Amino acid sequence: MDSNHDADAVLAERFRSGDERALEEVYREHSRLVYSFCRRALDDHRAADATQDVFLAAWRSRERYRPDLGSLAGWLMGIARFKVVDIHRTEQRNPLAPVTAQDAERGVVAEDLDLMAQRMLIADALMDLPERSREMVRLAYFDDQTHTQIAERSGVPLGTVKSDIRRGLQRLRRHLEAFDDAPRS
Amino acid sequence: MTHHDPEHPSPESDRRLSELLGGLTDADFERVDPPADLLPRITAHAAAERDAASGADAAASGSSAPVVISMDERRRPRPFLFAAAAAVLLVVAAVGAILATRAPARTERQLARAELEQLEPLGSTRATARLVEENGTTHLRIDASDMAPAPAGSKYELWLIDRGVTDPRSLGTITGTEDVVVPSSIDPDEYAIVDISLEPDDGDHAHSGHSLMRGTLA
Repeated sequence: MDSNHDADAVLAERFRSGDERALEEVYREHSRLVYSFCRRALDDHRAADATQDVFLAAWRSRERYRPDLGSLAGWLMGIARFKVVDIHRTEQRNPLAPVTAQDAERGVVAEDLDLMAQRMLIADALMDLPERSREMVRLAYFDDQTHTQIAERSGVPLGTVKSDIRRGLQRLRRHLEAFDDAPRS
Repeated sequence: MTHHDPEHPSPESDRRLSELLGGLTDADFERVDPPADLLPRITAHAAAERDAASGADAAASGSSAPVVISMDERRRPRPFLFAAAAAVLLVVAAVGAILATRAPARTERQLARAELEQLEPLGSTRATARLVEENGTTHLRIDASDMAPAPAGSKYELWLIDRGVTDPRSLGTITGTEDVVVPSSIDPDEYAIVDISLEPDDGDHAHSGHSLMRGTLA
């Protein structure tokens, strides 16, 4: 896991320094997350355009990305949230813009989009956690179990349960910090 | 953005995270592959922007500094550089137009000309010399646009030589198309032979005797 982290840090540094192959690697790593988010809010054509805009905006602002302040995934999703929110605002202002029935049905508003982006980011981050840590976080937050209950039912010492959850949450928070730090354009 | 000690997250940060975790649905885990052409679209844009930026750098570095372009770069389209060059040309044209309207009409009169014959397969394959009088001064204009660079350790030099071929007078080094003023001490009627020589960088200012091109003004 730590070696994974180091590899992420190296990739982020190469990206920051303007290595175009790093842009490709970052795309391969995170485009499914970004596109899936855009696709939930937009039709496939506009979702592809928005995804392209997100990666190019990130690339142009690469020197503003601070690896010490959070994950690249979080930063990309922060940018994606602004893009998608802006597209929705523009189209709502323009009465001639085609609004699909699906859009209207969804009744998507900026706040929903923002939270949707954060939840999808956290979902990705959860899947990246070591299995035991992920399971503990799941029990604590989905099943609302107390740390003591988790320890009792899993047979894992209470101290280990606590540190697993704490470390897992720490990793998730890194994604949100980058999300909050993302530039609007 | 405030940066919290990760070991002691703020209560707001804790609440936000637990609300997000509690709100996760299956849809938040669903993933769709982006279209296959998206990555090439993005990398093409990034490459085009890089080229445009390097073109802008070259344009910004000033017209006096020579811009060395490698063969690799030369093959790629550099739209921004072309735009910058076009802008420079526009400025030059505008300044030229202003000067043309302000300056008195230039008087230019061709006195003589010569086709230079290539004596050795070096330098230019063909060149023309024109002797021109402009506003009271005499110019020798050499058109040798296809002149190859001089071999290392040497240079090309332009001369006017008397008809008896005994007294070459140097008009300086030449790299191709050149416009030089003929000093009034040289009478082009007598010094009618235009000569381009290969001169080794040996500090000797006399003609090397190694003439590459030659023609007589008439």
